[in-house]
Amino acid sequence: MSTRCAGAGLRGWLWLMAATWLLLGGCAQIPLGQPMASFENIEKGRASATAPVAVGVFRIAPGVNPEIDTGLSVRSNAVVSPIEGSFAQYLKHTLVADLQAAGLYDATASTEISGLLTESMLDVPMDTGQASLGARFVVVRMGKMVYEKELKVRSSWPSSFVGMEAIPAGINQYTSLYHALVGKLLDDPDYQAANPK
Amino acid sequence: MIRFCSLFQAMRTFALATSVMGLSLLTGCASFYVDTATREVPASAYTKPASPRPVQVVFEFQTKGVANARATQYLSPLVLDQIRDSGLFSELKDTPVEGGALLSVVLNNVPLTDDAFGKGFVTGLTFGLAGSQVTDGYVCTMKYLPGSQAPAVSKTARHAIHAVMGAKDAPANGVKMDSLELAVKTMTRQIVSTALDDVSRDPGFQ
Repeated sequence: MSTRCAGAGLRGWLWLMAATWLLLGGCAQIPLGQPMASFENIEKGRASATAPVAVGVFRIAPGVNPEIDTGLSVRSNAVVSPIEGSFAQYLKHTLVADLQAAGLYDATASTEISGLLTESMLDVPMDTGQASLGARFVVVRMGKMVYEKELKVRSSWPSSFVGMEAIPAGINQYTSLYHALVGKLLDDPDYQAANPK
Repeated sequence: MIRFCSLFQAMRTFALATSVMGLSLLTGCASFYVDTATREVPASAYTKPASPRPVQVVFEFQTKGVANARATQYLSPLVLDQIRDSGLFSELKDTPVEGGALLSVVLNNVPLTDDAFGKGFVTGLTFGLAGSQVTDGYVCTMKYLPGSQAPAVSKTARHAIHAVMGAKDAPANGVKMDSLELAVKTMTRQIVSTALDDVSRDPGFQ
């Protein structure tokens, strides 16, 4: 037991330092995990009866603060996209991952989805956390726009005082919104009507 | 033998803990024990289908029911390799396969110990003299959709990792692991093997 206590003291110190660092607002850059397909959206895609599409350009919407595309500040930590440092690109890759897994992605299709990031927010205070994500999706088939709509998703959850718990939970909630937004597109009857199988 | 942990090891463990483990393992000095109730089922024990079919696999790690993309990315290769080596399928893909079979694997980390942060924090403040134990639970839900009109096969397995911090005895129901990383990988392998075995024995899978 005594040998473990020696290690315990040192490691306890390190953990305490890490905890204090986070609690006091230490600064770190935290990338989101790589987008991977969601089972829920595979099922939504299968049920949508839509045709395979190509995925075009995704970027920040005109007139929107470009900083929402490049990072989020969470208790002095910077949350960033692992894809070109852009949340718009993260949305594009999430869409591609879900469409591919649902068998609805075809890079050569005559129908193409593009998108403009209109909203990206993550707030992790010490009571209720909130996150939101929005994008204007545009579907063009053979040069003709057949769908244009801004879709938004939001989330709120009980947020902890403790940064070590609150920050990862907030990041998970925010990241989940990307699949939720893609799911909202696949569920949208207007999209389904604009891109029938 | 006195084990000194380097700053690198501590931070590496910290980074892993934030993505794969819950709060319960974040504070204080910790030793990790994989629960003994769920053990690995060898692939040779699975009930193999006469003609294995291809399958599309989707894996997701969740923390308290919310998708955790970093942990999913970390554990995905391990889980896919294990399913590939199971002998239950002829081919694994991340896109639709011929026949339309789909296997969803969700591993959800659920806290089993209340006030884990408080326990760990006190251990840290007292330099390990006030020991504590916290437990993280894991629920693996495996759903197999044959791709035909046949109903889905759904199985659930459960597991746990115990973290002992400071001066506290080892749990009787745990096997000590050399690192948090090994504990997570061992738990994952054991719980996925259990769920795979259950799926393989279901008449709806054969």
